[in-house]
Amino acid sequence: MTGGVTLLPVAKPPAGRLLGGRHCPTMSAGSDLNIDYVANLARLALTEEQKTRYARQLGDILHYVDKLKQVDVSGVEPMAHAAPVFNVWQDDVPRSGLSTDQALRNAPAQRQNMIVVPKVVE
Amino acid sequence: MARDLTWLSATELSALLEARELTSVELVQACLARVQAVDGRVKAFNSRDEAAALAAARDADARRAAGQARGPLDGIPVGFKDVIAVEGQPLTCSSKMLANYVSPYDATVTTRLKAAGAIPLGRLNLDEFAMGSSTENSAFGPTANPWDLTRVPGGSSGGSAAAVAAGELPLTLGSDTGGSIRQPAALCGIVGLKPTYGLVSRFGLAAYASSLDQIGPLARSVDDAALLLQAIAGHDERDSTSFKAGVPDYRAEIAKRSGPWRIGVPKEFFGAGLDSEVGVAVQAAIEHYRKTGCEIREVSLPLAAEQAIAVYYLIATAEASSNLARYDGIRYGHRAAKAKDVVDLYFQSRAEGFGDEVKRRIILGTHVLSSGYYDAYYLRAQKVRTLIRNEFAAVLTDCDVLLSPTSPTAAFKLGEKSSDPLAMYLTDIYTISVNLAGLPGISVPCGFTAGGLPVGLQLIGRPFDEAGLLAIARHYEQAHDWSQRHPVL
Repeated sequence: MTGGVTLLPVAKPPAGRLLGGRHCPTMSAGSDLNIDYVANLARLALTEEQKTRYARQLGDILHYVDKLKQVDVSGVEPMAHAAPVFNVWQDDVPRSGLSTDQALRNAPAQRQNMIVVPKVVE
Repeated sequence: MARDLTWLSATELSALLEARELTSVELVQACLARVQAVDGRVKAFNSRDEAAALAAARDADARRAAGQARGPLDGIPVGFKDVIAVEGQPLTCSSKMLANYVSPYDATVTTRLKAAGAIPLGRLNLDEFAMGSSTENSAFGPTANPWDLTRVPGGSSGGSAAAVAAGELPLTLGSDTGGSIRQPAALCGIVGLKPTYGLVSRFGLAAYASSLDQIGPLARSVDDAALLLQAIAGHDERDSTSFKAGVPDYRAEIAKRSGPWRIGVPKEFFGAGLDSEVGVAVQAAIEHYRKTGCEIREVSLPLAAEQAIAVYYLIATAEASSNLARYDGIRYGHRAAKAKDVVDLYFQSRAEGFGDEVKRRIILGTHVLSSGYYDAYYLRAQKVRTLIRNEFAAVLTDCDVLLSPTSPTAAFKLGEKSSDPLAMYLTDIYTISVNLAGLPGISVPCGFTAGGLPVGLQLIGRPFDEAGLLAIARHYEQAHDWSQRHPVL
C-alpha cells in the first residue's frame, strides 16, 4: 500500500486538477480532496478506515472554508505573519552549537557518531 | 507547615519567600504533595523531575540566605506545557512520536526563567502537538477539568490550566496558536495571557503554526501573569520574528494606567452560538466597566467573526504540514521497526507516531498547499488574514481594548465533541482572530454557570501594549472575587 518502491516517483495529481501553474479559477469543494494523492505527498500511511473517515471529515471542513469565496480580496496583499519585522540579518559570527553527543542523543539508531538509516542507494 | 499554600498567588508566595516566612524547598514540597494528592484524577502532568526541582529549590534558598535572590520569581515553581524545551527533561508534545525524546537544550523562555530563579517543575499535558481545544487528543490520555472531572479543561494548554486551577502549581507556561492559552484558562477559571506575536521568543517551542504560535503565562491573578510575562518577554536573535523593542516594567506601567478606558464590544461576538449563561456573565462585566466610568462602544468585526475560523484552519494546517515534515523517523522521534526502505520508513514512522487529529491536519494542510489549490485556499486565506488584521487595527484606533467572551460555552463533557472536528474548531470562534491579527489577548474569570463551571472574559489589546491590557483586566479582577473560589478535589 505505502511501500517506497510503488510510491516513487510521486503519484500524479488527479486528472484535470492541474490548472496551469498555481492558478485555480474556482474554489474547490470538499469532494476534490484526493486522499491517496495527498497522503502520498505528506508521506503518511493511512488505513482504508482512516481514508474514508478523514475524507468525510475534511470534506465537511473544506465545505465550511468555502465561505472565503464571499470575500473580495482584489488588490489585497497576503500576510505571512503579524510581526512588524522583515529581512532579519545577523552577523556571521561563529559560535558553538550542540555537541555530537547532544545532537545524537535522540537518534533512533546510531553507530560511530552517525545516525543509522536504511540503505538509500542500491 | 501550618500555612496552606495551595491557593496562594505567586505574588503572595514571592512575598512570603522575601520575608523568610517560607522556603522554596517547603513550597516545592507543598506543590509535590498536592500533585501527589490530586493529579491521579486531574492528570495535568506528563512528567516531573522531583529531585531536580528540589535541588533547584535548595539553590534558591541558599541565594536568598546569602542576600543574592534574583528577583520575585526566585524559588517559585513553574510548570511547562510539554512543547517547551527544558534541557535534560522529556519533551513529548503529548505524542507517541516524541514519547522518548529528551530536550538537548533549553528554550529561550526556559533559559530566562532559570536565570530569574524560577524552578521548572514538570511538563504538562496538551492536545498532541497543540492541535485541539480539549486536551483529549493526547497520546497519554485526557486531562480532566478540576471543577468537574467529567469535563474537559479546554485546550490545547489543558494541563497548564488544570494544574493552576487544581492548586498544583501557582504558575505555568502554555502556548496559544488559536486560543490555546485563553480558552483553557476560561474553562478552568484562571487567568491566561497570549502576548503580542513577537514579544516572547519561540526558540525551543515545538512548532505547530509558526506565524501564529506564541508562548504565554497561565496564573491565578493578573499580577501573577504580569510577573511571569516580565521574565520571558523580550527580543531573542534566535527567533527571527522576535520583535526588537524594550520591555517595560509591567508592574510599574500597570500602576500608572488608571482609566477610564474606551472599551469596544464587537457585536458579532455576542450572536448565535453563545451560551446564555456565558453571555449574562460577560454582560455583567461590561456593566462593571460602564459603571466605573469607562466608555462602552459597540464595534463591528464582520470578517473576524465570519471568516477567522476558515482562515485559521487553512493557514495553521498548511504551516503544520510543513513544520511536522521534520518527524520522519530518521534523526529523532519514533522510528517504525518494520520498513522496507527509507521512504517506507517515513510513511510507517509517521503513521505509527502521529495521532488522529495530527494526521487530519497534515492531510488538510498538504492539500491546501498542493499544486492547483494553493491560490484558492492558502493564498486567499493569507489575503483575508490581512483584511482581518486591518479590521482590528481600525477599531483599536478608537478603543483601548476590545471585550468579548473567551469561549462560547463553559467546559463541555469529555467525548462530547471528539468525533466532530468542525464542532471542536468552532469552540475557538472568539479567540482565533486575535492570533491571525497578532494581537495580545487575555482571559480573566468573570463568573460561574448555575452548574458551577467557570466563565472567562476576553480582553484584546493593541500590539505590544500588554501593560494597558493587563491594567484593564486587573481593574475588573480587583472588584470581583471569582478567583477566591476553588474546586473541591
